[in-house]
Amino acid sequence: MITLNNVVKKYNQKVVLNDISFAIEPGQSIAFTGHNGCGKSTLLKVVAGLIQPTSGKVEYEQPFLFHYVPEHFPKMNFTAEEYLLFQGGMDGLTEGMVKEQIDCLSEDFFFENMLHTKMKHLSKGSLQKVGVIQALLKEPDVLLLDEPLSGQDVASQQVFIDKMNALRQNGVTILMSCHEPYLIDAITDWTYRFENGKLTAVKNEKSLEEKWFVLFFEKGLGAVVPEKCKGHLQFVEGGCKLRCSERYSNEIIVEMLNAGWNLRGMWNEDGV
Amino acid sequence: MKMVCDVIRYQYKQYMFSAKWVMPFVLLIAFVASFYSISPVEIVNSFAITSLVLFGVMTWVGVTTQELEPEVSEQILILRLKSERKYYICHILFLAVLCVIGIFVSMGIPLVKNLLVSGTMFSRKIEMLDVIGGFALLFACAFTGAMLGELFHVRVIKERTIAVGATFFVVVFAIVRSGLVEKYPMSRFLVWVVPPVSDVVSWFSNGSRFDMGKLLVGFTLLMLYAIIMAVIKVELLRLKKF
Repeated sequence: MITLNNVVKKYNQKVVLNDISFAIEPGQSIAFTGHNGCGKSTLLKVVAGLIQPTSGKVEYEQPFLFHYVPEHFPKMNFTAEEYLLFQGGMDGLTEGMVKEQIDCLSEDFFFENMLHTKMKHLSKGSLQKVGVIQALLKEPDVLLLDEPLSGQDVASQQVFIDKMNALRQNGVTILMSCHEPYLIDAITDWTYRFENGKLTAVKNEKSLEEKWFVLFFEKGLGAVVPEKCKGHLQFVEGGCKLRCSERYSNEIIVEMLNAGWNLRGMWNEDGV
Repeated sequence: MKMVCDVIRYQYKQYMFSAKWVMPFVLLIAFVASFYSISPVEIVNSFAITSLVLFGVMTWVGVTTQELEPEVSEQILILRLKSERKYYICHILFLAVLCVIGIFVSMGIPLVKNLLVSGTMFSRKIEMLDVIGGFALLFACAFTGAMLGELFHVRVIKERTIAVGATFFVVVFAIVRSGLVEKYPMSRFLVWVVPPVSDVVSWFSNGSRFDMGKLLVGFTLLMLYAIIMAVIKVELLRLKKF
C-alpha cells in the first residue's frame, strides 16, 4: 500500500498539490484527469518518490518496483533495440529473456521495423512505443502512465489497453494521468479530477450510460479479498468500498459475502 | 552486480555516443604527446605533472557528464534500480572508469614511446613500482577532479554560469594551494576545503622514486576528499530530487 498524507507541492509559491491525502491499494487502477499543468504528472512523480513534496509524506508498505511511461520520451543516440536491451538488463533479466520480450512486445505494438532505428530519428508516436515497451519488459509492482497514448496509432492503443488489463489481472497497480475518456473507461476503476490542487473522485464516462453503485462492506471474521475484487476495493475506516456497475453488482455482493464480508450499505453514485 | 555493470556500460555507451568526450580527451592527448616529445624525462616528476593536468581534465569531464542522461530517462533508471543512491553510485563508478581511461592515455603514451625508443624515454629504466605508483597518483588526482566536476550539479545549482565558475575557482585553488600556503601561511585556514592536489603532487615533484609511504598517505587523503565530495553530491541530489 502507498499512502499520501497531507501532501503539498508548491512551485514558486504556486500550489500544485494542495493537502492531498489518499491511499493506493495494491492492484488498484486509478486515473487522474484535469487541465494541462494542473499537477497530474507531479502527483505521479511524488507517488514514485521522484519529486520531494513541499510538506506532507508519502509512505510505502515495502519498496515497490515502479515503471514509468513518460509523456515525452527523450530522443537518444541509442537504437531502440540497444536501449531496450540495456533496460531489460537493468531489470535483472537475462539477455535471452530480454530479447524474447523485445521481439514479442515489438511485434504486438507493430514496432519490429523500427527496432534498429536510432531513437533520435523516431517520431513521437514511435518513441512513445519505446516508452511503453521498456515499462513492460518486466512486470512492475506499480506502473505510472503519463499520457501514455499520445501520438500512438489506433491499433496500438487497443494493444495497450489489452496489456494494461492483463497487468491488472496480475495485481499490478496502475496510476495514470490521462485525458482520453475511453482509455479511462477501459483500464481504470477510479477516476480523480484535479481542480485547484485538490483531488475529487468523479464518475467514469461509462457511468453516463449505466448505473453505477458504491457498496460498503464491513470486514467479518477471517474475511479475505476475493480474487475477482482484488484491486477494486478502496479500504476505509471500518471496512471497504467498492464501485461497480449495476450488471455486476449481484455477482460481486455474492462473492464478497462468501469471502466473509458483511454488506452494510449500497448507494448509487449520487449518494442515494 | 550484473545490474551495476549494465548501468555503467549503458552510461559509457551514452557518453561515447555524445561528443562530450572529444575535447577533454583531445586536450589530454595533445598535452601528453607534447610533454613527452622531449626525452629523457624524470619518471616520478613527469607522472606528477601529468596527474595535475589529468585532475583538471577530469574536472571538465565531470562537469560535462552531469547532463549526459536526459532527465526523464534518469528518472526511469532510478525507478528501475529501486534506489537513487544505487544509481548515483553507478554513475560515480562510471566516472572511475573514465578516470582509468584517462590514466591509460596519460601513462600509455609515454610507456609505448619508451618501448619504441628502446627505453630512452625516461632518465632511468622504468620499474613495476613506478607504474604502480604513477597509476595510484594519477587515479587519486583524476578521481578527485571528476568528483569536483560533479559537485556543483545542475540540479543543485541551476545557474550554470555560477556552477562552472565555482568549479573553475576550486580547480585553480587546488592547483595553487601549496604555493599559496607557502607564501601566506594563514591561508591554510581558508583553503583546507579545497582538495590538496598540489600538496600531494609536490611531494613527488623532486624524488627519483615513489616513496610508497607518502604515496599511501597522499592517495588516502585525495580519495577521502573525493569520497566526501561524492557523498555531499549524492545526498544533495537525494534531498533535492527532480
